[in-house]
Amino acid sequence: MLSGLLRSRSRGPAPIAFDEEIRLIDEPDEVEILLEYPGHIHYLPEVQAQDLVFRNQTIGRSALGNCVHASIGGRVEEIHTVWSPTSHHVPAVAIRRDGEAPAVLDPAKVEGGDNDWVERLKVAGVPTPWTLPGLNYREEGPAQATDIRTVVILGAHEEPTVFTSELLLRHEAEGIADGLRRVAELLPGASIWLTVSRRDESWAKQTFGALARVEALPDDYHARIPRHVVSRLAGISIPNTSAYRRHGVAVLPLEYFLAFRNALDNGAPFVSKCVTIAGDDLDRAVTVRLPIGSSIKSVLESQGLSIEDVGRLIVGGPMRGIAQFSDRAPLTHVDGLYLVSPDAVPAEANDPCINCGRCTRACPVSIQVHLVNRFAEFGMFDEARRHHPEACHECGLCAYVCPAERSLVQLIRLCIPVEA
Amino acid sequence: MADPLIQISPPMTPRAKHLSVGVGPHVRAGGTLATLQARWLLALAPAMAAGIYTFGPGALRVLCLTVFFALAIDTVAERIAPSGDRTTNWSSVTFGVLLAFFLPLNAPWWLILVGCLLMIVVGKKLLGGWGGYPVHPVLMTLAMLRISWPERLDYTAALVGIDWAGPLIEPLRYVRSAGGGAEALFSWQDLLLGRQVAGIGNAMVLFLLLGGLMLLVLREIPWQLPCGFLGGLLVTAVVVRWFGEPGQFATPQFYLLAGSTVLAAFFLITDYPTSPVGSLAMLLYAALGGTLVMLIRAFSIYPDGVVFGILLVNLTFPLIDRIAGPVVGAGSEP
Repeated sequence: MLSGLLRSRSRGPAPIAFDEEIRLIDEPDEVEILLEYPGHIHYLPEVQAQDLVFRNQTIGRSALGNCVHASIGGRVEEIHTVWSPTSHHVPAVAIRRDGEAPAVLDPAKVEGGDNDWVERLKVAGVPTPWTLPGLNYREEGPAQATDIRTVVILGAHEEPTVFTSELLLRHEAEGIADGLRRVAELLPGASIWLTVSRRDESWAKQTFGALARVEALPDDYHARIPRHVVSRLAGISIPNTSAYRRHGVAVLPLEYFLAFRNALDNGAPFVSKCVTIAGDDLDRAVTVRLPIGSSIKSVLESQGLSIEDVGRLIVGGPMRGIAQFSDRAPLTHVDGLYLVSPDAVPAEANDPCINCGRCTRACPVSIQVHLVNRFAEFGMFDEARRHHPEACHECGLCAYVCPAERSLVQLIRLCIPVEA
Repeated sequence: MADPLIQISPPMTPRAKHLSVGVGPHVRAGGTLATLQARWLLALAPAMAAGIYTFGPGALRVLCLTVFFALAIDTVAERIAPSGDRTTNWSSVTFGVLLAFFLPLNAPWWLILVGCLLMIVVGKKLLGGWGGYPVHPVLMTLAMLRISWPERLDYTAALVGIDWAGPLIEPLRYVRSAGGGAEALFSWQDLLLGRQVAGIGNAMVLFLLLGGLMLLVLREIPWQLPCGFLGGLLVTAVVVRWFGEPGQFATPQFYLLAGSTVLAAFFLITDYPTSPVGSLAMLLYAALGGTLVMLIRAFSIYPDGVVFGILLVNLTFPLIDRIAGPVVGAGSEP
């Protein structure tokens, strides 16, 4: 007990050991393809219940022509609503494997968009990256690619338990190099950055140094917060409430960047995704590749894990991930699963603020968190807004260090006016 | 024939396990308010032990009574008016210890009881609980006791009947009345080891310093507060010695070692709810506190000055806390 009292406080989550290989898992019997990018893009289904579909077949299309595809071959069971891992109730197409359906459309390409590369991206389910990612990903008509002055490809994930980007960087170096060349052709004049983990620095600089500016990031979580890194590289500050593209910046997670490069060549659409599974009770994190829409349950089972052994199930990483109440949600564009052991579930006492100021000192953008959280607690939102809660990156470091275990990120979020 | 109105329920399927959810982050640095108080108590432990060693079992009596009353009153108050400031955050224990440190060896039980009532009920609970109060409850209580029963807080009288080798007067009081030359009466070793007339723990300089350094190393308290306080006090001591009447003031290092300077620097000015958060704000606030304490020592009838000096600087905290750098990315439109 005494040694516990004398242990120095941690400033941020520490990275963990991980497996170098990307494991292929058996195709699940059933997938659910969401027909909505949370809240913003709606796809209209192009199939009906009982239809047979191929893998890679377009099953939904949005008003602007962005497509979504079947990730396994099978029969459409029904079109219904599901609870998504990001806590939205969204329409989805449920596809169950069926002996009659061929597994994959031959050739493994999507049709359409032969001449226009923007069109090709839409058809492949990789909407023009200039709009991605961010809190406000909306369909806003054709993107003006020429506006983009900075492209940042995120090759080092900020969550200490997610290694998808790092592994893909090592496994698919050729594809990445080719993609970097293609981006430079499409966006002449834009500066292209590739962030990598410091472990890979010298190798990455050799491999990609001629094609992009390689930025090595240390392991610390607070040195990897995407908004913060992107703002630093682009030389402008981009708050969380603002989409990157409005500042002339395109940000692509590495896996999305690879899918984007495939789509430019009319290759296979974006139907499979890497996910790192990590947990308190796991020795090392394992990364698997799975068809988009696989349920959490099927992914856990493929690794011999079960919800029964888990105290809290997080989609994403421990810092910014979302807790799930069940293992039925389909995994879509998520990078990690984090399994909190039953005896390590955080208490969340939500005690009164004692004004110790650790939150404010931990904040990467210097928000006066100790003031904002109390103003929010007592409903003084006008006062709180004077301290610029809108600059928050939602990195969670304030709540990480809070001894009163307050929900600081959410209190700050409460102060930010909602966009109409 | 079965009643058609009775629906036959579908066969029972085993219910899927549902987990409880919560908001992120889903890992924490570890440590709660209770562990934070435990660290403070651990840091105060050397001074407690030194107090009991120096003043004998009487000091233990004062310490135990104060902590007991504080904890009991906190428990009852919590029962009557439950609040977020729970007894189990153990803040009342730390406050009890800090209050006891300032009490004389012969403090009667009723004085301790009244002090704890003031401290817990008025200073802490009524003014918003730990985290909400505007001034340090311990110092507020001490100010009230000192004004109400000055003769009961006479440290010299408390030592009558105790085997005491050194001069039977508080160093700061003697210097205040007899001038800076009186400093020679007290050896710096005695001052450092707490062999000076004082409360049962507030002048255990070396032992408080040990605990304070422990808190600094564990990053429980920011370095700006103790450094600013000691800096402000020393600079003011130098200034008054230079510009004041010759011979009236002792050397700056004497003011550092005498009375409750070190206790104030590491355990009172660093009180979280009453101290600002920004680096510059902390330095300014603490330096102002040190200056006020030294000015009170130099020019008022209160020789120690810590109680009133820090109470005064507590009042400036909300204003000084506004000093903060710009927010990165502030005011940008979505």
